[in-house]
Amino acid sequence: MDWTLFQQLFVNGIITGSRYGALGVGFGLILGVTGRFHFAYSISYVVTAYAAIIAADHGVPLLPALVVGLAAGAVLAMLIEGFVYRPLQSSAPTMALLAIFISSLGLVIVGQNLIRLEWGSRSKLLDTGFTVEGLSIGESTFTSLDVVMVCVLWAVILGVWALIRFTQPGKMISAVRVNPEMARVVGIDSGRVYLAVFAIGSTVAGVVALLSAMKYAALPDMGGQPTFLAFVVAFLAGVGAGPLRAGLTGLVVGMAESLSGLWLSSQWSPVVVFSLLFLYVAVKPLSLGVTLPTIARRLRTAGAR
Amino acid sequence: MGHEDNYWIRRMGSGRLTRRRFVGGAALLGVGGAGLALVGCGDDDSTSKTPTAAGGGGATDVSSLKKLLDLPTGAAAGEGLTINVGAVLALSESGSYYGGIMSKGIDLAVEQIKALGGPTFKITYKDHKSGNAEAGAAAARELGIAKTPLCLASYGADIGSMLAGIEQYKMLTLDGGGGTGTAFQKKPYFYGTRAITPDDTFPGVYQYVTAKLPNVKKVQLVYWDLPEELINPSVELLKAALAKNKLEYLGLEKAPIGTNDFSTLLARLKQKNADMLHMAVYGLDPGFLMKQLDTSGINAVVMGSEFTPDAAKVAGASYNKYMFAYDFFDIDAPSNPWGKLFVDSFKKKYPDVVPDFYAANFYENMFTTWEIVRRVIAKKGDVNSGDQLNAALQEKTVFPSVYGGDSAKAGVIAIDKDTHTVSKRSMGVFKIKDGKPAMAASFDIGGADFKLVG
Repeated sequence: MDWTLFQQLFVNGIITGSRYGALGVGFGLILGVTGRFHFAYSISYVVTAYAAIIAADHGVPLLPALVVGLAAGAVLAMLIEGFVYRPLQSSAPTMALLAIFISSLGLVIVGQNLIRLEWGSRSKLLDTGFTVEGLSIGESTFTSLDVVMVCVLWAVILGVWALIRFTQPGKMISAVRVNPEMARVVGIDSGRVYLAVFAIGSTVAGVVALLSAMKYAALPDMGGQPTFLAFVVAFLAGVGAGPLRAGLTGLVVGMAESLSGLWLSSQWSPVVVFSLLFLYVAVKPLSLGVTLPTIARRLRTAGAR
Repeated sequence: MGHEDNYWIRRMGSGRLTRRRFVGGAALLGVGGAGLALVGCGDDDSTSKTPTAAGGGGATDVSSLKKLLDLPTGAAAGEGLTINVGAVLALSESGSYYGGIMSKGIDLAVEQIKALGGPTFKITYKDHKSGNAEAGAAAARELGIAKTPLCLASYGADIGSMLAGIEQYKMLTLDGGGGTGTAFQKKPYFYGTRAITPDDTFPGVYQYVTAKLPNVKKVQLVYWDLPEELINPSVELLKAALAKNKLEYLGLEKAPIGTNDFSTLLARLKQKNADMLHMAVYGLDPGFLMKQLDTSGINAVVMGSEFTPDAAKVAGASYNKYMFAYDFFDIDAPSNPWGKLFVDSFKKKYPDVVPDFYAANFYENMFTTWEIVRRVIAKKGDVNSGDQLNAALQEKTVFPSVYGGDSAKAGVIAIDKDTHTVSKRSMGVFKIKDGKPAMAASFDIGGADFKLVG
């Protein structure tokens, strides 16, 4: 094995995995608490980046512009929950899952094209506020922005974990996640909790969006792949898993994708993520108390029949 | 569904949402929406809008073109005729920038042709949604059903999806966006009007490398993740060009299409220790790749196959290390008077838009279309007959061009009758100086007329 390549891919994996982890935390929080398949997560992602850039272009200093972006993404998510998902859930509860999924896809299509219509399809850049420098550890290279990205994202992941674990609102969120009916009985307004969860989840996505816009650029369709990855991480971590587990799962996914470069050409990287998902879906049922010797015995006896 | 099933009526009925609150909320939403619209006004990119001939500026005096292009007048020019032309472009999705800029080139040409006494070209724009095969096939079918005899296409006839319709409806089609590539040559009624990249650039590029980059001995090819049948011809041509110049071919590394994260690719490239990376990646990808390559520890020379202002914006200062080679239209230094007139008139008509080579290609293609129509008129033929238009093109496959030429005369583009791709097309190797392309060498197909510049 080429150790120099391994080191570089390992470093890349930490950076990529941190992004995936944060995305998974936000998406998983929404999915785990509300049960909503919020594919329009991607449009909150895009709106956050665009709102920050437009605010900065209009002379707002960088940090307030970032706050404007995060607020825009969070507000949009809450509006989607309040005015799109909730009416659908209320009107047709038995069909809500599918209806919400389809409506969220529609929102993505409409949202992306509205952004293109208004602001064009060319890339938009977000200033980092500092000079990005190349750094290295041994033969591995990365940038100062990568360091900031990893630190900020893990701070966000830990922040969400601490919010859920130690604060009153966090306990309310956990209560609604575990048993919405019981939570309602004890006086927790699940409607408000849902709104809060959408806001928090989209804010987490927004942080990733802002960092991505700084590292790469903002584009109307920049939210698609992150949303897919967020779903994969949330699914692998387990719907309802805590932020730490989702974050670590994202790190593992990112690391696996990056380290696959030791053997595979880079165009196969997305396949690695799909493969992890496939393996999980295939192997998961086997984890329900079925051991490997049992599997082997069943295969042998199936052949005998 | 009764009233009791409606979420909003139940909320209003429960008293939690009163009429006053609802109206107040709607008013707030309206004010907020208006505020958002105001913030969004005045964007610097209007290329995503539906194509329209209306521009912000005035028209340019184009009378000089009559002499420069030796244009006839009156009936011979097609005066008074209305001719339908289809334009199948990326008008939505990720490639909508290209469709927008191409349509501006078309609209400018239509306006100028009319001013020069030519026919009214009625353009029907169709959207192939940035490479959607069904959309391309549907566009060709719809244009064919409408008996449109002429078409301008992009993305290599939308990655070949239009070819069946083009042949079925005998619609003479020029592609100044993707050209024919290697896969779509010799197709009936379909012609590429730009160089195949990177294939057509290899001979000229490696003459340049031998002359000016003597330290380059080992070359690594980086290619978009396309089907093997599209890549393999390029690999063989590159090997031949390298062998001729006694350089070593290290291998092929495929890059995912349309990604912004090249970290894995760059990690693998670093191990190759190449002296030069020859890249066949397009759109914004070169910009993202250069930005990340700058801090990756890779010191190889980078030779790309495309330059767009948007990719340059993404890459920032790291693009100063980027070189590229293809039939690039230099808007800051047009090579002939027609090219200069194109740039001046484009900027006048669209003051907020920077012209690029795609706009130049489609502008030029409309004039090529006009010349083909004039040839049919000269033979008293039917300008709506695809067969006659095709025959007129085949009769003489040389046309004036905004590329090449010199300070006194327009350049020339020639199309091969057999392959339907260009056999003569000015290309160059370009460096980036102060963020702008500067020609370092010029050459033609096959490396002909190679000349170092500057």
